[in-house]
Amino acid sequence: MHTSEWLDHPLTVQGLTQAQVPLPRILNRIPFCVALLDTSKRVVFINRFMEALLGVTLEQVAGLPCQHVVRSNMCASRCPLKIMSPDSESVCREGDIIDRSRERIPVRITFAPVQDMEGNLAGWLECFEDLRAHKELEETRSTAYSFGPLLGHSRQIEALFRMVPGVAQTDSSVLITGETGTGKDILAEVIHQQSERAKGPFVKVNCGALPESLLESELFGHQKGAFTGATANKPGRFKLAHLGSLFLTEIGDLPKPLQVKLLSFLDDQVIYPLGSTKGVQVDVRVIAATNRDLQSMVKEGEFREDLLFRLNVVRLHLPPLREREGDVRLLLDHFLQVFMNKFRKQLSGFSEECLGVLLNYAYPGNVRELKNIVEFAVNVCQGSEIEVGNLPSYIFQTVEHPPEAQEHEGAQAAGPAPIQPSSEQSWPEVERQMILKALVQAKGRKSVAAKLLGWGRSTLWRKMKQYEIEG
Amino acid sequence: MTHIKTKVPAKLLIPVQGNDVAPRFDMSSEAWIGWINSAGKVKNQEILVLPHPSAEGMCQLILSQNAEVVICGGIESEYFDYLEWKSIIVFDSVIATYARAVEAYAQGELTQGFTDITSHQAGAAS
Repeated sequence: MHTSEWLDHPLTVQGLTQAQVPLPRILNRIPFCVALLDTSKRVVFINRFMEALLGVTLEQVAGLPCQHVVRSNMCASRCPLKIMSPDSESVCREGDIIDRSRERIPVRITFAPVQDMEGNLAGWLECFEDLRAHKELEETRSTAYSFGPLLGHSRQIEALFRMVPGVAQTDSSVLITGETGTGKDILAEVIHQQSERAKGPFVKVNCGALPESLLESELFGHQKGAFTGATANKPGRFKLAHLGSLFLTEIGDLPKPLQVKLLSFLDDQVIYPLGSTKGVQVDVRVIAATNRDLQSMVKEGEFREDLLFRLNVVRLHLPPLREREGDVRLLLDHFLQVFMNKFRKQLSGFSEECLGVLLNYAYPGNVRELKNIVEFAVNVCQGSEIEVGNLPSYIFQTVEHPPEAQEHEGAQAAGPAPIQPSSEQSWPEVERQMILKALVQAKGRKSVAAKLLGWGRSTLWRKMKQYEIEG
Repeated sequence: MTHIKTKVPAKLLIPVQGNDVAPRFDMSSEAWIGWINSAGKVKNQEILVLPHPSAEGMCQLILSQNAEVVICGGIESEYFDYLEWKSIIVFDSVIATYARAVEAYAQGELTQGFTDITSHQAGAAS
């Protein structure tokens, strides 16, 4: 139908309800800005929300090329419609438009093909979301020393905050490094939320949590009958993350055969499900994270150098809390507020002595540990402010003898394992020693060691992985 | 639609995209420039190329070329106001081929938001 005919005789939808309904009436009720284009990308219809966004009426713009109506920064060179086909999935992009009052408006646009009954291209649908309120909120947040859920005002973390928006807007692979508890998962999610893929899925996979055979199927999917028990096709996390981001945490634990498959995907964006010879093209951005030193793993032959180069396109390092000058105080106050609200308690803050202890503590578990300490303290505090006595007792040992504590931990890991826990040891340390002792007793046979410990083989395997004990 | 009195002779500059007036002032890296004489004829026309699309670069080009009239598509108020402050006449939200826009200017027909679909359909596709 020609555009002018559409205006004179608007299309109606039949069969949905008893009466015929004019399509514009439906589209005008959708609280999003919608534009319907013909196959040559000329405007056929815009709903009233779109009229309000652009500052034009349908009569003024019907039949005009979309790029002259919408005036987006994507139109000239980045228009997704140029590469989309009738059966393409929807594509979501962030950009801006200039309305008729000469205001630049940040928008998120979803592009989708419209097919006729035979599956041929009938036109295009564009949905616009006005992001002005969202961006304003972000600006307010950033003045309060935060970036999404990340918080900090130290030089190191502010440098990171400056980098993240730019990194998010690119489609490059990202490698996030940092000690445990520094917020790698949160940063990965922030990158996804700030990217043009924000409307797409964010799929997280812990590469260290599953044995190799399961992990391969989990990541790449499998065909029905690929192995015993494969009773149905499984899409795999890569496919589930199509048009979104796949977050591979503990990438250092990815087994070598899967490193090759991941490398192959990063090369051509094609995955091969288990048992299938046919590749599947997926549009996924890979974000990887690890607390291990991948460079030394490469030297030891545990991690592929070419994969490291591929993932290392953009590298973001989250500094440990002890290196973030001034952030401990900020985070203490922040989490105090969070847990006061959560537990409905009214506290005036930390006592001076308590604050002294907390500011001098090394936080080996970084932000996660700090958060847990504040949660504990708010929970147990009965007075009007948090006192030293409200803090978990283990932190005093480290405050008093931090260097010795570190050395002690290293010695325990390397030497023969005394099974009697000393008062300075945490449960994970004791458990690690138990495993080592059992393995020594069982002469390295894991099934015997598991029996000695009273665990299943898989539990032992998982714990060994957790404590990085080589089998 | 605001009607602005046509000034002739005048030096015109139009950010272009193919044969069209560029939909966005800041996304165009090419500009048509030419003289309209008192008889409404176009003289000394040429296409100038910027190293990359940018609103600042386009403004600089307009000033360095001593253009008196700018015909463009979407332009941010910041740059519109700046050009007006520099005494440059700006016709924005124009949708047409640049040839048609120049013709309309010479004939005194050009307005803010001037749209000529027929010239457009005959010209470049989107």
